Amino acid sequence: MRRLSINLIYAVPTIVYLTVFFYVPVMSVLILSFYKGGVFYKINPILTLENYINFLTSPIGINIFITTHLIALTSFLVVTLIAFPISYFLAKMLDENKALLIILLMFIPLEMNYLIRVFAWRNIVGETGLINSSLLSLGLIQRPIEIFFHSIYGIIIVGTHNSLPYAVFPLYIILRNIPKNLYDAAMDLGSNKIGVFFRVTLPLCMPAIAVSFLFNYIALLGEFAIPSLVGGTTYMLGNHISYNFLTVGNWPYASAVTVTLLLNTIAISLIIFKLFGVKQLYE
Amino acid sequence: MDDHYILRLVNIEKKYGKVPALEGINLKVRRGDFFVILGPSGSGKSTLLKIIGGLEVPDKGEVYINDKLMNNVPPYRRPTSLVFQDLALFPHLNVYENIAYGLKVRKLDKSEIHRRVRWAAELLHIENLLERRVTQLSGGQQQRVALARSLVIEPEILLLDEPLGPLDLKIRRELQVELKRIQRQLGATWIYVTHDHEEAMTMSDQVAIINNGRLVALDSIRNLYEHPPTKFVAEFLGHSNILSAELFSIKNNIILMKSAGLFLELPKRVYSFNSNKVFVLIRPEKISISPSGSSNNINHVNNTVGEVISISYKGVITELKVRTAEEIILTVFKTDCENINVKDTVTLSWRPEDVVIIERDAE
Repeated sequence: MRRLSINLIYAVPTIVYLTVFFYVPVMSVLILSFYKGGVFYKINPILTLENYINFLTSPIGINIFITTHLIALTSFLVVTLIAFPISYFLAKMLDENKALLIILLMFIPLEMNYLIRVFAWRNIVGETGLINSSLLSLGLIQRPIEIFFHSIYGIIIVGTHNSLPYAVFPLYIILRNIPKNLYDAAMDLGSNKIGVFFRVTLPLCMPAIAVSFLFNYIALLGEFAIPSLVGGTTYMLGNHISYNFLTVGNWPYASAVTVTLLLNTIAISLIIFKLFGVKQLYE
Repeated sequence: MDDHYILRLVNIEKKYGKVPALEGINLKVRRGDFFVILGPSGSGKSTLLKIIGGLEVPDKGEVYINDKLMNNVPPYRRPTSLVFQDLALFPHLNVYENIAYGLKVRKLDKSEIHRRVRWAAELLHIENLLERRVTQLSGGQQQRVALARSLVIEPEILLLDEPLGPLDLKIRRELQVELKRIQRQLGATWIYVTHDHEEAMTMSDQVAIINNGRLVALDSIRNLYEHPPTKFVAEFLGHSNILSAELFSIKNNIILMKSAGLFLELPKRVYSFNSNKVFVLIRPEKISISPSGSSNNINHVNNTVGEVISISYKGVITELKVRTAEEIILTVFKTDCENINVKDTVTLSWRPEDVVIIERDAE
């Protein structure tokens, strides 16, 4: 009995923190999402499923939902494809100190304010950005290439950049810790180098890929700043939520979209973590 | 005519940086042998095994398997399989999938894979562990999985790199006997690396002894034990009394050696004396010891008197150190010596045929 009460004391800060900053806001959003709403902050406390039905049956809602997932998926695949060779190089070709230094240097720009970083990207990929102006001055193109700015590609580029270090770091740790003997054993048992990658390296790296999935795919699902700054007319779930909260003023509808997104996020994370064997990380 | 040799190594050399790991290794292994490569740690024996398996590339020399040059053949196309010292089981696969790995790579069909995995699992008595994760197994069980994983692809040469190293003595003994049984049953060629000469004694048909990257002896373990070609081999294969000695005389097919006042007589065998100075070896278990009293027949030829300076009880045997009248310290093994105490005077004697000459030049 005494032991239990002492344990409860240890749990108090966590419980208070989670209650104030997580459960109360989430519960209020959840309750709000079942209220009847309207434009200009009209909230009518009548329980209804209207908001969910409106979102999930409207062509716009479905379109935004699919677009958001497509952007997140593309960015996730690009990040993984770029992170693999980088991590492999860091883990196999460099000694530990140099590799950690490079990873640190990859993280430092992320400490910069988020908005400033996105604006910095506009200086590179924007209409008069580095890529376009150099291509123009070289005479390779006549007009600025538009896919680099105010488009879905801009979101993918910036999203990829934001989460690359989070993909490299866990991959690097896992790759560094795979004993060379495992590769040797796989070769000895009949796998060539490609076979070794797909049968040994990749399966062992899945937990790291799951972690990078969390920082990239899941983070992009709720993103609204990147699409508003570099996405042009591309509209993601985050924009849809912020637009309905702030501009339209339909809080119950915005809350319903938020809850849908939250459930969606939790479901995907659980599936991926189960599938990719994240348990291996702490075994 | 080399038909019954499955493996030939010709002049293998390997350096790590500037440090030579292997120098001028020439070796032939007979088909179906349990061939043990024995040497102290750091002698290059694991490197040699990896060279045979193709996981290391020699700087010089050739590897022939079935008389085919293997130097440029990658490990995945060699008819060999290596059981790693640290086992290298795949942590992301369960026991069944680990054993099936080589078969899946070879794209056998499911029922054939299943049949062969079961065969290997039953051979090694792990058929009820197939669904387990490898991290849940004990050391001995992991050992069996590693072995099954290699055996299941039916390699012509199975390479084992100190596979029993980390196991405790009892399980090691059990597995030694079992490994030998499996090897006999399959009739395959096994090359087994170890630093433990007792393991070599239990299992080997042929033994190659490697020291500092060089092959120093190649023979059956019995011949090597009874007539070690060098002092290193004699010392490496168990306890030994090695004395510096000089040739005193050869007459009537009897060699008489002198070592610090002690005379050793032995029947003449083929020794080519490059020098008068040699070593003589008497194994501790070949010396008989008795409490002094009947000291009248001491003539210091193959017998002497001495004082017991230490007695250590080691279970089956007791190890005694005796300082002889010639100030030589001899180690003696005896199974029963309740009537001998430290500081007792004892008589030591041995048979002439138990004295072995080791030439110094052979070092």
